[in-house]
Amino acid sequence: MVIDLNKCIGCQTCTLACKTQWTDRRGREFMYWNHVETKPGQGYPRDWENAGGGWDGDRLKPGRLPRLAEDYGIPADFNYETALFQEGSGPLRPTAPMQWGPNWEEDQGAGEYPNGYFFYLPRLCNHCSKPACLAACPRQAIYKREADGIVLIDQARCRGYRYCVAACPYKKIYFNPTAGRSEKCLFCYPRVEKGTPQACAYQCVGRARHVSYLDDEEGAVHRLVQGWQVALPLHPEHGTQPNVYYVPPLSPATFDAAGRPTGTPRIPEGYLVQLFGEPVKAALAVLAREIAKRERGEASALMDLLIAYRHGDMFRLTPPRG
Amino acid sequence: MTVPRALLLLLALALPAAAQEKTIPVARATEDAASPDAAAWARVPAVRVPLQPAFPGHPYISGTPVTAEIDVQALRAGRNLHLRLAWRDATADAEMRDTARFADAVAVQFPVNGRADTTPFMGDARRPVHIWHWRADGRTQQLLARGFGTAAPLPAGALRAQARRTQAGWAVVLTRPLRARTGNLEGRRTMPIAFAAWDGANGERDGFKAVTLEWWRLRF
Repeated sequence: MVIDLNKCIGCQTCTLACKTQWTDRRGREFMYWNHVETKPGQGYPRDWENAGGGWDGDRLKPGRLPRLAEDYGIPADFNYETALFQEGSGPLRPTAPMQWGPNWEEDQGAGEYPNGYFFYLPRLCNHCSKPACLAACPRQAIYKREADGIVLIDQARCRGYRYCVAACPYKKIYFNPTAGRSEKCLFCYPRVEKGTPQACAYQCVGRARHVSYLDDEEGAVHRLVQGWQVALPLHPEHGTQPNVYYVPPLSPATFDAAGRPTGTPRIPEGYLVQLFGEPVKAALAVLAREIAKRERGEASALMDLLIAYRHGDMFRLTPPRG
Repeated sequence: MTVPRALLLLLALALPAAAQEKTIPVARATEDAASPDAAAWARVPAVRVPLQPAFPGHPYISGTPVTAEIDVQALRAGRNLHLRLAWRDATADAEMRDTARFADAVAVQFPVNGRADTTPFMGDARRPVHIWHWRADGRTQQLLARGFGTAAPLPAGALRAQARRTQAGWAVVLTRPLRARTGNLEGRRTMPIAFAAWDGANGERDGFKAVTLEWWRLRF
């Protein structure tokens, strides 16, 4: 999957498409297999980028388990009965204070006026080629499907030990305290097996998500990742080889003291290097070059691909032959 | 994953001689003793069983378990075997409601073939082990294991547990009919037995546990 961060508007339609499909009950209320967080920020679960996991060469790195209330956030009940039906009862509010939640830092961002900045980062399981979760499970309860690479937890084998949660550097495995087992994004395999794209991708109103096999040369993922090299994995330094890629965000120039644009992008390049590694510099340069072409009225195959004129062209779910 | 098999082999070779000493006599009673407070327990001597860190069986399992010993009492009443297990545990972790917390637990293990030549480290493919597992959130399970990472629940059986917080920790009585399809104890004079305890507050679960590194023996 490729997610174009220049097209993500943070509407959370993907989040809700996923939640209503998979995680709206039975101990999953706090879980968001797909969510969109605002960067820079601590994200969801809180501070996941400093919670360990991943690989150090061929050794798994230790990781920390996120806490339910403090790091995920317990979904609040609201005072609907009083606020909506009793005169003078005050505004609609959570009945108990929340400590955290998905996109708790909505629109917070960083930087000072007039050079503040933020962008949205949708996150889901990366269905890694070298999944740390799989390697960390002492029970071989996690497997990666040969045919399509989807990483799944066998619920019959899982006993809720949570080594996978600690080992995942993206903290995209969730322990279900009601079921006593760990759960994660299924990459909508029951939909995919019927030829229907993942709910998060199919429902994306910004047409930000492309899905195809990396080795399908006609697919958008291959063209963006290996052809144009403008789509990059998040935090590649963890060594898990993610299969979700991001087109990094461009940003308008900062203003100097006199209010003139400086030419320096508001989102510091160094921050994007932290997230996507050194290759983000070249990716941003290619994007800028191709955008400039279109501004001059010239053709750009890359821009046509990212614009995604036809929704159906964004998804190629049949594996390539051979 | 590389298991230091040489270490396992050394430990296994050391077992038979040591096992002779480690005996837990099974007392007899007529009344029910399924409660840790049952009067019958006052007449049954407790055997103090020291525990050591388990060989974890997987490289991602690390940490030092805290439980140092379990006091074990065994009682046969009618068709049932009662095992009373008491150990120190400063905090009661009896819930699984948080994503970062673990419940206290205790378990006993028997070789399915009834022989002490079965490895006490979760058995192996040819010689499985049978486990009675109690967890402080109320779950009680019988499991069958054929090596590290293979423990699987048996169909709901007749294992029951009653637990109580004591001043020092937990007292749990595991009760099961002697006669059973898996792990039958009826008619036996002795039976190898091993013990394990998990302190939830220390993050202990799975192979992160304190155990007996060799078989003890129940003497009926």
